[in-house]
Order: sequence, then structure tokens, then C-alpha cells
Amino acid sequence: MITFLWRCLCLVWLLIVFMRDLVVSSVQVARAVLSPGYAAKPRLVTIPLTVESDAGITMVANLITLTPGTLTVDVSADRKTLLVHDLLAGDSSEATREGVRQGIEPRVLRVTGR
Amino acid sequence: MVALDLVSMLLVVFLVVFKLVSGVDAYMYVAIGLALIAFLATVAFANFIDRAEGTDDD
Amino acid sequence: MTETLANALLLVGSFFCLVAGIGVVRLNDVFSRMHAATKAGTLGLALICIAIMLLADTWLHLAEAVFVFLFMIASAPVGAHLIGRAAFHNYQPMDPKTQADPESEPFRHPVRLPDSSLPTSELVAEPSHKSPDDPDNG
Repeated sequence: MITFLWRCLCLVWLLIVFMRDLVVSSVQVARAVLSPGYAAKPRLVTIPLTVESDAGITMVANLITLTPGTLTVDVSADRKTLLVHDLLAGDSSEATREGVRQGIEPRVLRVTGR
Repeated sequence: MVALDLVSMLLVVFLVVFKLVSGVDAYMYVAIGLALIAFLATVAFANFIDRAEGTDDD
Repeated sequence: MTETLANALLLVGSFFCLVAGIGVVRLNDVFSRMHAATKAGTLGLALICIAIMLLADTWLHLAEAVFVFLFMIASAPVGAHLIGRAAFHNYQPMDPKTQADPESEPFRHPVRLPDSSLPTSELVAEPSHKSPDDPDNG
């Protein structure tokens, strides 16, 4: 019972953070679209997953799509890797990878448990 | 494809705002229905294109 | 007060919808366009729905706005994911500035797991119903 309540609390927190991320990402996209010299360097990044359950992977993929700069393209057949398109990545994929591993995944793990 | 997705989303937005302007409740029901159906259209199209992989190269 | 706030939200929301439209015209490959359409479009719809919720006079009207909001928020990322997948598998042209991780190449050719529930006969050249290896297509 306590764990269930705790998970609901985590879910609410996840939704709040998600709305903030959505606003930030939309403002970024708006800036990229409306600035006259459009010079973003997109990049395809692979991200190894630690979440295992179906619900967890779905939530991570949806959150990635609506958070700054990134968009989920595909999940590998063995469900261990995510392919992500980053609009404003530049030359390195490490920043994107770390952002997902430390920002999104722990929050989803606290909700789904696995 | 992307444009189709966006057009359906903008149509929902338009219906919602038009309900506000005209005050006819039925527009809101249309918007709810369209919000569901638009998603199904996107899924069907994407699956169809993905299935045609290899036979068709554009 | 509430009306002023709702009007401001309507204006900002329609601005983001406009940005989504301009983005689809202006960006130059499928994936970048999907960034514009999904994120800016979703935020525009969310803001407009919140404005409708603020202006609602009965509980029914409020619930309707919440429903529209929930359906679109839940379905927009999944739709974008499916379009991106189909485009990627079919070698859609990408922005020449795009760089890719070397590990992304195997994603072009998804491994079709053999469907053990079908009889393996020569007449069935290819299983014609849904493919067994997409874990989350809606």
C-alpha cells in the first residue's frame, strides 16, 4: 500500500517535470525554427536502456519524444537500445545519452519499479 | 506523413476554439472523436509504409 | 482575471501552433520536421485546452477539455515514433549535416523473429498478419 502511494506520488512528480520539459523543448524548437540562419547539427544517438518492462520502455520513449531536442525513432529487437534523433546535438552524443540516463530513466524506474 | 499528423492535430485545435466561439456543444464531441481517429490514421499509414519496405524505395 | 489568463493562454497556444506549421515547411528532413510538429503542436494544443478548462462553466465542459488534452498528449509521441520508424527503415533522405552513431546501422534492418505459431509450409511465403517484433505500436 505504501509503495503504491509512493509510486503514485512519483507519477505526479514525473508529470510535473514532464510539463516543464515540454515547455522548454517547445521554446527550443521555436527558436530553432524562427531564427533566420538555421544551422543545427542533427545527430542519431543510440541509448542503452536499463528499464526492462514494456510499460517502462513505452514511458521512456514517449518522454524522450517530448523532452528538449530529442525524438525516439526506434527500439532494437532485443529491447536493450533506443535510437534517438537529436535536433541540436552538435558533434558528441554523450550529453544526450547522459541526459536520458540520469534525468528520465531514474524517474520512470521509480514509477514502474523495473 | 508528418503534415497529415500535424493537420489532424490543428483540426482538433480549430474545433476546440470554434466551440468556444460559437458555443455549440457538438463541436467538442467532434473534437474528442477526431483526437482518437487521427491517431489511428497515423498508426495505419506508418504501418503500411513500413510493411512496403524493400518493394518500394521512396 | 480568469478570462484575461485564458485569453493569454489562447494567444500563446495559437502562436505555438503557428510555429509548428512554419517548422514543417521550413526544416529540411522528416525527423527535424517531426520535432517541430510533435513538440510545438502538442504544447499549443495543451495550452489551448487549459484555456478552455479555465473558461468552462459546467463540469461536463471541463471534462471534455480534459479528454481532448489526454488523448492528444498520449497519442502524439506514439504517432511520431511510428512515422520516424517507417521513415528510417525506408532510407528517407536525411539532412546532409546529420551525423550518426555507428551503432545505429543495425536498426535499418530489424530482425524479424520467426513466428512459431504459424505452420512452416512452403505455401506461406511470408506471414501476412502483424509482425511479431514491435513491442509498442499502440
